[in-house]
Amino acid sequence: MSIDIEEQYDKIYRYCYYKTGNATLAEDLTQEAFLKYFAQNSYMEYGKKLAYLYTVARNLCIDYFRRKQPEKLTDELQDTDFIERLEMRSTLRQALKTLPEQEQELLLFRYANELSVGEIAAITGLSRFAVYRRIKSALASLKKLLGEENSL
Amino acid sequence: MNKKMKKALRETFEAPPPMDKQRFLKTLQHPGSTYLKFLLNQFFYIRKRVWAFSVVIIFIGWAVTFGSPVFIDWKAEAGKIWAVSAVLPFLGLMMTAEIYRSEFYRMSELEMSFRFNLPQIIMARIAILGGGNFVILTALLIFISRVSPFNLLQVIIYLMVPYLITCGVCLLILNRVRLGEGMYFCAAAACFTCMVNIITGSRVQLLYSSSTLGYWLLLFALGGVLTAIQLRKLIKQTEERTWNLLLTE
Repeated sequence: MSIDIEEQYDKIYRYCYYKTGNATLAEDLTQEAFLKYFAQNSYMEYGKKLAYLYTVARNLCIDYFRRKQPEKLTDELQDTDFIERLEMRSTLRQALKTLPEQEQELLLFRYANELSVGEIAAITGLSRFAVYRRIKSALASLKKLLGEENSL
Repeated sequence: MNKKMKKALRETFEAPPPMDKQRFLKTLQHPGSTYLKFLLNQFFYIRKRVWAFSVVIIFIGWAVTFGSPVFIDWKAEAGKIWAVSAVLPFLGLMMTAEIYRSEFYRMSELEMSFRFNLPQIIMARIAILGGGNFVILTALLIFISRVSPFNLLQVIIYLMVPYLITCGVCLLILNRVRLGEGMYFCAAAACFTCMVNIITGSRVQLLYSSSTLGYWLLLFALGGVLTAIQLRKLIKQTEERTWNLLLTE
C-alpha cells in the first residue's frame, strides 16, 4: 500500500471522531473503514486511494447514524466523556460549530489532517477552486466570529 | 493565515488518543505489492542510457546488415557478423555495470531496508536487462540471418560468443575485485574482446569457416557456463559483500 497506514489511521480516526464525537465508536468505525478498504483491491493499485478511504469512513459514519435508534433520556448520562469534552470546548470550537458542516469538514481536512487541496477535492467531489474558495470563506467567517466573541 | 490560528484549528479537531491502534495494525492483513509490480518498478530504475545504447546497437546491426549491398561475396557477409559481434561486448559491459550499480554507488543499505531483499532486486534487474538484451540479440539475429550465408545456429554462436564471454569475464572480475576498480577492469575486458574481434577481422574467412565451428561451440559453452556460474556466485555473495562494504567504508 502506498499510503502510510499508521499515519492514515490517526487521520481517519480523527475524522470519525469529529463525525461521531465518541472515541470508542470512532475507533471502531476507523478499523471497519480499513477492513473494508482492504477487503477489495480495485483501488489499491489504481485510482484515488486516499479519497476512497475517506469515502468509506464517511459512509460508515453516515450508516451508523442511520442505524442508531433515538435514545430515551434517562437520569444517568451515558457518555460523560462527550459531555466533558463539550464543556471544555474553547471559543474556537464554539465558533467552528456555527459554520456549515461542509466548511467544518474542509477545515479538518486542510488543517488537522493536512491534506492538499487536490486531495480534498478528490474526497469531497468539489473542484480545486471551490475547495480553495470555501476554505477561505470558512476562515473569514471564523475570524469574524472570533472577533465578535472577543469584542463582547 | 497565521501559524497560531493553524495550530488552534489543529488542536480543535484533536481527538483523544486511539486505544486499539497498535493491536489492530498488527493484526491487519493487507496485501503487499505484487512481484509483477515490483518487477515493473525495477524497470524504471534502469538508466535510460542502457536502453539508448541498446537502440544504437540495433541501429548499428540494421545499418551493417542492410546498409551495404547484399551477397557481394562470402567475406563481406562474414564481415557483417564480425562487425556486429564486435559491438556486443559493450552490451555485456552495460548489463554488468547496471547490475552492480547499487553496490557501486553504495545504495545497497537502502535496498536492504526494502521489503524485497538485495538478491531479489538484483535478480529482477538481471531478468529485465536479460530480457532487453534477448530482444536486441533476437533483432540482430533476424537482421543478419536474412542476408547471411550461414545457418541460424552459426549466426547465433558467432554473435553470442563475444557477448557471453564479456558478461562472464565482467562478472568474474566484479565478483573478485573491489567495485571501484572492478568497473575499469570490466571496461578493459570489454575493449579487449572487441579488439580481439577487430584484430582477427582480417582473418574473417578462416574465423567463420566450418572447420572452426567446433572451437566456436566450445567458446559458446564456456561463455555460457562462466556467465551462469558467476551470476550464481553474485547472488550468493551479495549479502555478504554488502555487509563487508558497509563495514569497511
